[in-house]
Amino acid sequence: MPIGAIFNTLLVTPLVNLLIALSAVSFGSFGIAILLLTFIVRGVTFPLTLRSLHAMRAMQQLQPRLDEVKKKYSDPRRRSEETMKLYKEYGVNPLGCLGPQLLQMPIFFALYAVIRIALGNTPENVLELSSRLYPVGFIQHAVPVSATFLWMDLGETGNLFLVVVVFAAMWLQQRISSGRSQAAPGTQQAQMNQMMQWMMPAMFAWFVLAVPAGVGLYWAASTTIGIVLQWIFVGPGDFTWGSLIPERFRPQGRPRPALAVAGAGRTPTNRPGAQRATEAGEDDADRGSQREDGGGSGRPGTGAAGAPPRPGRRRRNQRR
Amino acid sequence: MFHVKHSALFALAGLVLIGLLTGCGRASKPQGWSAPVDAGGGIVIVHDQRGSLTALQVTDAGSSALWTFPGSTDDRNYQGFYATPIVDRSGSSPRLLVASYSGHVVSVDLATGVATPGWPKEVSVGGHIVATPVLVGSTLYVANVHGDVKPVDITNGTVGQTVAKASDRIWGAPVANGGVLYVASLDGSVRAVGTDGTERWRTDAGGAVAGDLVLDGDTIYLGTLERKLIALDRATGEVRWSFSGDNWFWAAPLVTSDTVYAPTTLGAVHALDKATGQEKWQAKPGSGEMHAQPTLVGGALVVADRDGWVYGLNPSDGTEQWRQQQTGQRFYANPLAQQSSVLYLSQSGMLVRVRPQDQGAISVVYQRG
Repeated sequence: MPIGAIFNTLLVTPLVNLLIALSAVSFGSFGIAILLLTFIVRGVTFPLTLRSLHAMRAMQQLQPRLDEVKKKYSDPRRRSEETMKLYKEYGVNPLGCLGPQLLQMPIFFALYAVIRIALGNTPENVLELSSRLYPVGFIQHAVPVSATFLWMDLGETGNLFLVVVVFAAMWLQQRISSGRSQAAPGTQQAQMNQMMQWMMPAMFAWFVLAVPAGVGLYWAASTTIGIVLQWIFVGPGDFTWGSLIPERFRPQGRPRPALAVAGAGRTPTNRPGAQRATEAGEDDADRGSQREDGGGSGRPGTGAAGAPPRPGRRRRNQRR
Repeated sequence: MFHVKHSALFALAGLVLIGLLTGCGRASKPQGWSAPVDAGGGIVIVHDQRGSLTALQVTDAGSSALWTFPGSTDDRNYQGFYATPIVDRSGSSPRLLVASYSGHVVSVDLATGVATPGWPKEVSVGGHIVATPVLVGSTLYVANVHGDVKPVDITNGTVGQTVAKASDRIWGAPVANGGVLYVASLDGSVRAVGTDGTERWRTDAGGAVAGDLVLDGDTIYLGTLERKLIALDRATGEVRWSFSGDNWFWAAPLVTSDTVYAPTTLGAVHALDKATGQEKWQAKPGSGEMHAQPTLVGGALVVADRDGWVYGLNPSDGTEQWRQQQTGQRFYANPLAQQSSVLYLSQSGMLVRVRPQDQGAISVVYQRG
């Protein structure tokens, strides 16, 4: 069976029927059906999302140690070995972040096809739908679905409202993620973070502009849910809403919000003194482990570059 | 390091996604399925997916193109034609009244293929047009996807006030008789409206009506996406009979003196008693969606489907007499029946001739260049 047919049979056709069934129970609103589908997909992938968020947190906390390894070993092979050793030691799976995203990709592709089929404005699209619907009374009765949701036509491209929403949501998500990465300013990663901060939202905004608004609605809802989950389970990192205000407009006399300040990930605070104290404490606590690794110099600057993570059970066992 | 790779991976994936999806977006462009039109003198008008019409001089040997509208120097984009053009011979020179998916009505001189002098370049009815308009006297009633039916004066192109309003798209061609329009919509309503806009009756068909209405005597026949074929009393709108099929009835049914032939979108063909709706026979020659109206030519009931198959069935019992396939073509447009053959226009713009008396032998009459 060709891969296209498998994709259609296993994903597109069931999704078409699911969305039309959801629209039938959503007062005929395909927009609400898309939002319900977003919750369902997010619910199904929640265990993976949780693992991904934990892996992300662990990776971010491990970043200073990885930077140390990078600085210390110039030989790529040795560097790679040491990096893997660190991953192993802290029980981090570097691919752990990818699960939910990879799982969502085929759904996302399928959703594009589904919306094109179910909401297609052209008669050919609706005709194509006839062979995909299951012979279930209330699904058949729900066709043709209304493409209108609020003021939007979900089958039309170029919805500027969704472009703005997706751009803002992805920017915020990227900001929360990259702000936690504790990249030292001026490093390659910091530059990459800065670039991705704008490039990813711009790219997806362009994408939402080019696809039917229904796909944009799904992406906007999914990203928003992702932000909420990240906020709840990982925290906002060094992000504060005040940081959105340009510096010259901020009230005088208040401390500046920490913007990508190294080591701020675990102690979200705007009080520099408190931050330094915490980092110093963590730095002291971690010197032992650095010595165990054989690479820890205990140099005073380490803490400023970000406190390494307090590893989980695995590390405590090693200490014993 | 990993975070960098991670971000780059997503950027790459995003770019691929955008490329693929925006590329696929072209698939949802309207294609149109207006039927070929016999303009007399061996001239057949066909449309193509690029939103143009071509006049062909058709002979037994093939065809030659006479003109194309809009011409090569005309940059108007009509987005395709679902509505079948109407030949109007009431004036000094015959012309075509064309309704495009872009929502425009145009008058085209049949001899030259240029816009008729004295008419506006084009008139807009304020929404996409899928349904074939109906001509009543000197007024063309045009339905759009906003559910409006608007009168267009064919003498000067003036668009009048809406005479009927449905809450959803009108895709099926309305019919008219005795100064009354009969209009059905995807909202499931069927209504009879006077040409002055007064509603005579309204009936709920129980499901979206996407196909053309067929008026035969005092009965209106229509199919629904709720898998029903319905016969309505023309005077009152009451349901005379209703028949349930295996899938949507979208193609316009063929009504003869005693039988109604109606295909479904799952490829089944039903023959029903015209008076009672009782099924006489059922055949399922293929599985492709059938959207083209059946036709009777050379003693065979000819039906065609999405997969390029054309079938000849015995009209009395539905047994298959022959089948032929034009590979790679989709036949959605209603056919043009001629004396001993039938012309089908495919979605890719290929016009083929099917000869039922020659086991359905197919020959290509025209292929868009």
